[in-house]
Order: sequence, then structure tokens, then C-alpha cells
Amino acid sequence: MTATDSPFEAWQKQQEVFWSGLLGGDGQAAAREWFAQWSRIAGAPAGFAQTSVAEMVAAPFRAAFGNDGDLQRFMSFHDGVATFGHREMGEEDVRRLSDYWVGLLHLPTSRLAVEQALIGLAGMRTAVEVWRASPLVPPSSSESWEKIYAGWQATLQSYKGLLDLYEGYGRRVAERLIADLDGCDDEVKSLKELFDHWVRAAEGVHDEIAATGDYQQAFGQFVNHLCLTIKVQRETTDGILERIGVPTYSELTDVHARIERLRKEQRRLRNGAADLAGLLTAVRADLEKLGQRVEDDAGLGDELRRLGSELGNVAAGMAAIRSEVGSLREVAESAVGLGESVAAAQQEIAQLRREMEKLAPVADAGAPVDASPSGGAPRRAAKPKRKEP
Amino acid sequence: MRPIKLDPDATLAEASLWWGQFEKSRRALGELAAAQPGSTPTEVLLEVDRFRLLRFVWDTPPRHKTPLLISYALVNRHTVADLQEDKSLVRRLLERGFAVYVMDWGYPRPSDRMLDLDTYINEYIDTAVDHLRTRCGVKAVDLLGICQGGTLALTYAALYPEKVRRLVTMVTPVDFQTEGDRLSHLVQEIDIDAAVAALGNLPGVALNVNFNALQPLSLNIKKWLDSVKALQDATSGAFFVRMERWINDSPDQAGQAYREFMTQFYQQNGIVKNTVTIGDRAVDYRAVRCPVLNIFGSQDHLVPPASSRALKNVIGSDDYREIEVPSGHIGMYVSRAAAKVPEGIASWLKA
Repeated sequence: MTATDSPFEAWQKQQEVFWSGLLGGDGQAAAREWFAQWSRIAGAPAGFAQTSVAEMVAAPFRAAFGNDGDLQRFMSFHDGVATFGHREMGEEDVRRLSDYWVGLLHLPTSRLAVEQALIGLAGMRTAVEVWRASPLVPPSSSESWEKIYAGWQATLQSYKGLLDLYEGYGRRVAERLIADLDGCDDEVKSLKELFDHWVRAAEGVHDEIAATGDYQQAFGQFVNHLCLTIKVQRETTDGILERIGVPTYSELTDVHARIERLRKEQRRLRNGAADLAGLLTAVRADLEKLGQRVEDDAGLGDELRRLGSELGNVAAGMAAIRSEVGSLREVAESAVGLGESVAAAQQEIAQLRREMEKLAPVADAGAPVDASPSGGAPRRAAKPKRKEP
Repeated sequence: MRPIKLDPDATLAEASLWWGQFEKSRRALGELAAAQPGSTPTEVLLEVDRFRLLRFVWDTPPRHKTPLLISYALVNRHTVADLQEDKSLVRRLLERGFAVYVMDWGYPRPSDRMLDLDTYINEYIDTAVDHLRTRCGVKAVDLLGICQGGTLALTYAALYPEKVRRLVTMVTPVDFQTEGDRLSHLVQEIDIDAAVAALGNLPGVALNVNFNALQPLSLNIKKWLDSVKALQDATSGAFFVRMERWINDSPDQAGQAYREFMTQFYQQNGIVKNTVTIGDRAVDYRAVRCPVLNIFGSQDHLVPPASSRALKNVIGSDDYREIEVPSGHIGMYVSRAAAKVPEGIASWLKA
């Protein structure tokens, strides 16, 4: 490991040392090949074509750094802007730069992580300074970058504070390992078995440290400052893009936000339309139900019609009755008139009878024809037959 | 104390054996490159943006009318529930006569960074549920939520209780701030807004790095050493390769959805406090009154048992049951200990 190594280079070298120590000289190359093959197999589903874990981790970050994920195209464009006269910062440099930052993501599981971060910081500063020398980079970004460097210094100081937590780490792991082995009867005869015990003990101690508030705070500060660094990097890129008239990341963010708002509006309208359709369906269903009821109530309609007809009959009957009453009244009136006529006739008959009695001695030759035996009024004519309704 | 007695000859023999296995594993890797997770064919029923509703195609028609819809996490892919024929939760449920469907969230692109939980829940899940209700002629579906997908399913069930007949949650975080939840502990101080503003979508690989950092030695060194042994046998080797493919198949997280999930659930512990808001709707988890089956692993370091168990106290359902499986988070799908899980789900759904 050298002072100019990126954290990933340092990490890779450390891995090589590990495999080399484990396997011997020839084993190192074999292990590297083996690991690369693993990376190809395991990384393929995610669409990566890397040959190393570092590459696999770096790729999405590189994508995130670029304009809407297309750093490569942007860099080609960047290289192509020859009129700005700066070609020193090529794709490979940006690749290295992003690798430095990605390297900083590694969690401080040991003192080495902090050391790597310090190396990474130095490397980042060097790379950024080269980049900032480009006339494409807006001068206004200098202040932001100075803040970023200062922030990294503070962040790494707090990480150094964590080293206190790792003081005696090895001793604590050993104590834990012994405690782990305590109480077991069998002897440890296998190297692998001992290794597994060590892993368990070491992770147990690491977990205790990770559970502290100090670790939590330092981790948060680390990630937050990493994100701030990426943000400043992005703003710097936006500045370059603005200068050369290319849509910026923040502009695309605005567009995406608008699309999302429109999408929600579309959903709201669609749901509204669906609600309306639901309402119409309900109304249609009600209408269908009503129609069904009308069909089901056809008997009732007939009954109603029959009743109506009967009502008509009743009305006709009433009219007939009324007419009959009228006829009866006429008859009654006629009867009254007739009675008066009869009375007058009776009086006239009585008068005639008296006159006949006076004349009886004079004319004994015949008796009156229609006189009642009782001497009352003559029988009435038969009553007129009642009109049928 | 157990004495450590490493005999030099025996240790050398052990190292030699491992070296021989290592050479063989190198050759095996080339032959296993084609091993892929996922064993059951699927049919696409619905597509909205990158979201797809899939039906697992099975020879025999289902015996149960109510469809079973799987809601998997946004982190990683649902294929772990159907990794290979003999390690497939999906197949075991199909064999028991269930019609099984899954929501495939897809791979968010940078242009999807504004996708939020409102869209995931109120559009994607709701559209899928409505589609199945119509397709199967039922008023409500059965939901099987896994991990973060369980949290989404639970939230959906609270928002649309009339559309969920029964809810099964597997290794689902509910209380995001329990003792021993190291993941939650580490994210409390992170400025999520700044992270999303800087990164847009959260790289899935970065999340994997963080998951690995919880057990750095086990997952970054020990696993590789052990894999050599697994690769000695074609069957175990293929299984190991499929698992690795699945682990590394980590979609990026849509920025806005990630922001909401981390802040409302992890940092504000919104389910326990009943303060979650999705879109413009406040979620009341007490509205979940359907029968609930909660399955969790007793050795789960990503979702501690206490986190899942909290479900009992946040929902309004009186019909609540738990199954504790002696496994870790991933072991829930593939370990021997989890072999009884499908039957547990099936018999509970039929009850």
C-alpha cells in the first residue's frame, strides 16, 4: 500500500495480501481469478460487467455522478469540447476520482478504514484540484470545495475519535474468544474451527462498538459528508453543463418532479373518472332494478288496471243511479201531479156524485161504470216500469 | 476452556484439502455460471411503468378461489421466494392449491427517482389488487408481505381494509427501533434528505455494502472460504451460485420512496407511533382488522424478532397468530428450519 493508493487500491492490495498469505505465491493469482469470476457471475443480474468488487460498487456511484446516469456520454462530450482546451481530465481520471469517493463508503470496521479514508481524502484533493484547473469548472465552486475539504478533516477527526473505541480491540476479541471456548469440552483441532470462533468473537466486539452512540454519530457524520461531497460535485458539474448549454441535473430533477406531479394528477383524474363511472354504474343498476321491478310488478299493473276499470264501472253505476234517482224524482213529481189530478178528479167525482144523487130520482136508468165498490177513487194506472241502469 | 490443539501435520493436511477443493471450485464455477434464481414460469398480467403483476403458472388449477398476492421488498428481488425447485416457497403454495401472484417492482432508473410510496402503494399495489379482485371474482385478496414488502402490505391493508381478506407478514419490520437493531441504529444520524438530494436513487449495491458491514467478517471473508466447500458438489454449488446471484441482484431504490421509508419508518418509527402518511392519507394501522399471521426468524439480524412481534400491538385485528422459525433473515426461505413455513401459511389461509 502506498500513500497514493486509493482506498480501493489499498483494499485490493490488502485482499491480495490476505489470499497470498493464505495460499502462497501461486495461490494469489488463482484467488484473484477466482474472485473475478465470482464477481462476473454474481454481478451479472444487476447488469454489471465488472471484473472486480470495487468496480461493482463503483459503477452505480459513477452513474449517479453523471448527468442522468450517463457519465460516459458526458465525458466523451467533455473531451470533445476542444475549444475549451482542457483534455487532461479524462474518463480514467474521473473514474479514479469516483473510486476515491466510493472508497470512503467503506465502514470503519478497523483502524485501517480510517487510514484508508485519510489516503482517500488526499487522493480526492489531488484529483479535484486537477479537475478544478479546467476552464470549464466555474470559479464559484472553489468556496464549496474548500468547505468540503474542511468538512472531511472534521469528519475524519471524529473518526479518529472512534479509534479510542477500538483501543484494545485485539485484546477484547481474544477475551471473547476464550469466553466462547470456555465451557466446551471438545478440543479445537481444526484451523477452520478456530477461524470460525475468531470470526464470531471479532464480530461480537465490533457489534458492541457499533452499538455505541459515538459510533452512530461518527457514522452519520461520515455518510452525511460523503453525500455533501457528491452534492457539491454535482453542482460543479451543473455549472459546467450550464456553461456549455447542456441541461443540468437540477433541471432534470425539476422535470422529473413535474412529471411525478402530473402523474398524480392523472391518477386523481382517473380515480375521479372511475368514481364517476362507479356512480353511473350504480345509477344504471338502480335503473335496471327499477325496470326489473316494473316487470315483476306487471300483475300489479293489471290489478291496477282492473281496479281502474272497476272504478269506471262504479262511476258509470253511480251515474246510472243518479239518473235513476232523477227519473224517480220525475216519477215522484208526476205522481204528485197525478195525485193532485186524482184529488181534483175525486172532488170532481164527488161533486158529480152529489149532483147525480140529486138527479137520481130523475134518472134511475143506469149506475156509474168505473166507480169503486167502496165508493173511493178509481184505481190508478199501473206504475211505470223502473228503468234499468 | 476447550484446549486448542492444532497438530501441525493435521493443519497442513487441512490446508492441503482446502487447496484441492479450491482448485475444484474454480472449475465448478465455470460450469455453474448459468444457474439462475427462479424456478417457476410466470405470466405477465399487468404492466404499469416498470411495475408488473406476475402470475406463477402451474399445471393444475387452483383449489382456492382467493388469490394470494406476494408483496416483496423493494430491496433485492422476489426470486428468493422461488429460488429453485426444492427451495421455493411459491412452489409449495402452488402445490397446496393456491393461485399465487407476485408484484415485480422492476429496476428503477435515474428518471424514476421521484417515485414515492404513494405511487407504490396507492397505485401499483392497489391496481394489482383490483385486477385480481376482478379477475378472480372476489371482494378481497390474501396478501403475503415479505420483509419491507410486508411493511408495504401492512400499510396497504390499513388503507384498504375492505380489499384484504387475510394478511401474512414474513420477516417484516414493524417496530424500527428495537434493542439490537443495528441497521436502524446506524441510520438514525444520517441526513436522508441530503443523501437523496445527492444521489437521486440509492444504489442497491451501496445498500448491500451496508448490509455486509453488519457482519463484516462473516460476509466478506468467511463466506468466500466456506463457498469453496459448497462448490464441491453440483447441487450445493448451484444453490450457492443462485443465492449469490440473488444477493447481488439489488435494484436501486427510487429516491423519494427511499426517503419516505427511511424517515417515516426507520427514523420516526411511524408504525408504532401510528404517524405514517402515504400521499395525502394518514395511515391508521388499527384499521387492520382482518386475520393476520406473522412469521419471523428467531436469529434474524436484519429484522430482529422484537421488531416483527410489535405487529400484534399496532393492528386492530383480534385474530392474530405468530410463527417463530429458528432461522435468520434469508434462512426463512431456504433453510431446513423453514421447511414447515409453507404448510403453516397454507393451513392458516384455509382455516
